[in-house]
Amino acid sequence: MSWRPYFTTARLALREAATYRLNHFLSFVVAVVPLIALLLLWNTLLGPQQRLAGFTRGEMLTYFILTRWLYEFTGPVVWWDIAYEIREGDLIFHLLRPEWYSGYHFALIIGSKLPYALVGLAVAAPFALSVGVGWVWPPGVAAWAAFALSVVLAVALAYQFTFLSSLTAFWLEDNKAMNLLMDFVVPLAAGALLPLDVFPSAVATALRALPFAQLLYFPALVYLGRVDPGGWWAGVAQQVGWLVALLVINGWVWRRGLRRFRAVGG
Amino acid sequence: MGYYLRLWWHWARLSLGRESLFRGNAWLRLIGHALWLGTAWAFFAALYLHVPAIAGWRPAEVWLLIAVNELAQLLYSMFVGQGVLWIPDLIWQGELDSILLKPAAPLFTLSVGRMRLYNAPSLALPLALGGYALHTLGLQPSWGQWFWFGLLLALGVAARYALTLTVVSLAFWVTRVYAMPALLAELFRLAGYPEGIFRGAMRALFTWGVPVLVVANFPTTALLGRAGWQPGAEAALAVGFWCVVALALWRAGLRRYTAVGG
Amino acid sequence: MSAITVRHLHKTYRAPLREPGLRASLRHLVAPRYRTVVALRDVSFTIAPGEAVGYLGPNGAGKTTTLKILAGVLYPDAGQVEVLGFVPWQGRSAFKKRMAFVMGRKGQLWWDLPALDLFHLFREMYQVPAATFRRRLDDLAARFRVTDLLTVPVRNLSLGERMKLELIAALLHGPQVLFLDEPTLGLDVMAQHEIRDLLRAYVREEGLTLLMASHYMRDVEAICERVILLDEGRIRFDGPLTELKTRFAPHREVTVTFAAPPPSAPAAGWLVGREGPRFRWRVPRQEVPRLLQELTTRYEVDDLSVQEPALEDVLRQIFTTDAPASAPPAPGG
Repeated sequence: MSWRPYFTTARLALREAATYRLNHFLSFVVAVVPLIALLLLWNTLLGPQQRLAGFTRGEMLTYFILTRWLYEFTGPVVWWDIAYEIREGDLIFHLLRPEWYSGYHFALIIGSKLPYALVGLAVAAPFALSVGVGWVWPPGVAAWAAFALSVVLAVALAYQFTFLSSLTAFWLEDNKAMNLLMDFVVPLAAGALLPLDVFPSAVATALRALPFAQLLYFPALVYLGRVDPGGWWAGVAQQVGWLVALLVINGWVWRRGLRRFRAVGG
Repeated sequence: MGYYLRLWWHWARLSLGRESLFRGNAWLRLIGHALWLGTAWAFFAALYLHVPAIAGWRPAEVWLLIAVNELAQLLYSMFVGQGVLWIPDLIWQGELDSILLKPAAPLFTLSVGRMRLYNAPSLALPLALGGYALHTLGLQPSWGQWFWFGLLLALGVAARYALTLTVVSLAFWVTRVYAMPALLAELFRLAGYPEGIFRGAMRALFTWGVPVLVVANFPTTALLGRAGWQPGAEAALAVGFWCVVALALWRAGLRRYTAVGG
Repeated sequence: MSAITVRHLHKTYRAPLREPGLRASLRHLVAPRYRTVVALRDVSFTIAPGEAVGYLGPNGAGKTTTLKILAGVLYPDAGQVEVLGFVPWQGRSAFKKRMAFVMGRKGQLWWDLPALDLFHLFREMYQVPAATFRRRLDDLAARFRVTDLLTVPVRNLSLGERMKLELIAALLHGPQVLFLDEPTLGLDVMAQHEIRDLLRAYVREEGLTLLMASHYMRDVEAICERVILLDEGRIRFDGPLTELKTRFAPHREVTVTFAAPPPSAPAAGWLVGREGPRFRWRVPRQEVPRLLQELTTRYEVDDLSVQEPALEDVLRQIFTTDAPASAPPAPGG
């Protein structure tokens, strides 16, 4: 199998996204706004030496800024294009081509989000480092590597959730119910609202056992050096396990969906 | 005046008629609002496991705040929010013409033309949470406080309306900046944080620049019995200022539209 | 007194010049460059009350711009306009209540609701007394044969039915002046025909002043006695429809099928086609009687027809060749 067409797809998506530069810049500003409130909130809640749920103020703020950025890639969404193509029957064009449908949209997503993320990084980094956040760095090269690996796996895992939720378009008339799930339930379970440690311990334990914690909470903890090397491998193993499980589930759902698509005639 | 009241009534009926076709959505919206309120509650409830107060606000006071915030958001979206957001699309598609041809004031038609009255059931959520918070705090606001609360709440909704109108009026000059209204919506989400975390320049910015504190914090302090004349005066001034800006920009935009064409 | 007076109307647009590339868009932010597009140059005409006028011209000729200025949604750069004694762009509601503007490409009905719901809103908006409204609605619905469709959601209607309801929506407040912009755009031939007939009858009976821009010459032929021809923002012709044809199409096409192939064909005008015994000539109008006489007296003829060129062809010729009106058309063209 050749990877070239998927790189090309990603590059096209990137170019298209880049034509809406002003919008991207503004959407970045949009993403920064909640951080202002969080910055103010944690400055009020925690003095420089205080801890909350084991987090210092610097760790807490680093956690929020980092996860806000990471979640652009590791946060699952209902991908509008897939849902649209399924409902409107445009899926047929893809079925006619020698194409790996899931891979095609993965390339599209990465390509369209990349400029956004790069602009985000370019503006967020000086912001984060300058306003007295007390920015925290990973404790060493090994932690950086473990973080990078966990992010790559989280991106792959997130896409499997994205694909699964978009495939519901074979059966559901619109995305609204799935969107509610993706907008409220998943971020909470992934640790985008708060580090899971802040929740009551029973809730936190339950949430850590779900796959969503592997999307965001786990990579962020690795970054902050709050996971020891033994925990790295356990976490990465969980990520790989969930990834394999979702690939199997998605394969099955995709085949069921196609059968339905072909029966209805698109 | 009677003319516009009657028109408003007709628009309300039309909106209801249209929304009744999508009853399923009403349920989803109710669930969505419940999730939204639930998330805000979960956020603060988790924090209160670790701290007794946030910037001097006790838990029940914050519940009241997020209830009032949700109430303001709902009232805004039910009556004018959707209509205002519709303006950029009409401008970019050159569809403003059919509204300019009508004898009613265009801004009125645009503002009330897309009411979302089916959000009304969702009002039960913040009312319940707010009632629970008042009960927990052992507060029974006087009629005067309720009146003051109502006035400040109306000012809060007006603040959001004026600011949104300002931003959407930019659509007369700048094409396809979809992120602008989103930016504003995100800013107004800050309304759910207690006033105490905004200090100094930040407080001034979020009272005058983007009157976020006006939306929920000021009305809430009225119910808590903390509001003197100051929040009312600040709110009135901020809203007045933004209304002037919004209307000036709207008129200039309309002049430009009629000079250049859609 | 005239219903519509337009004097020395002038309108230009500034269209931004956008070049591709990041540098060009940055430059555009700082120092935008524009190109000037002249939409109307020195346009003047008057329309009497009750007159129905067709407004013709190719795309971009300035037809819609004129209509928008007359309806008050656009300012001109220069010139005077009066419609029913009002200056349109002052936006008086008394003016808006006495005119209507229907755009074929833009509907105002709501997709999901029956038209009747919106009609009631318009009654309120235009402050039409309830009894008058009832009477007009019954009359219009009966005329347009849509009485059963008033309570059907608009999305379930055909394009033609929707257009009829759009017209009713515009006529309910009893306008004295009606502006139509491509009212039959996108409709099938049957629906075009029906809407034309309905409009003609209504406009004549109610004595409406009508200015109608259209691409479909048949719309104009069916409804209007007078046409104004616009090209690149200038008026090229203003007068009765019949005169337009005389002036711009001074020829007839004569087609003859001879019973037996003639040894020599009669000389007349330009011979533009010949297939066996079938001959086609383009003949100046005044020569037609002489040719017919010659053909019927000196030859044995199986079939004979004289055709006036369709307005469509006349216009295509005017706008494409840009030739002076008096020049003879190219043979075979």
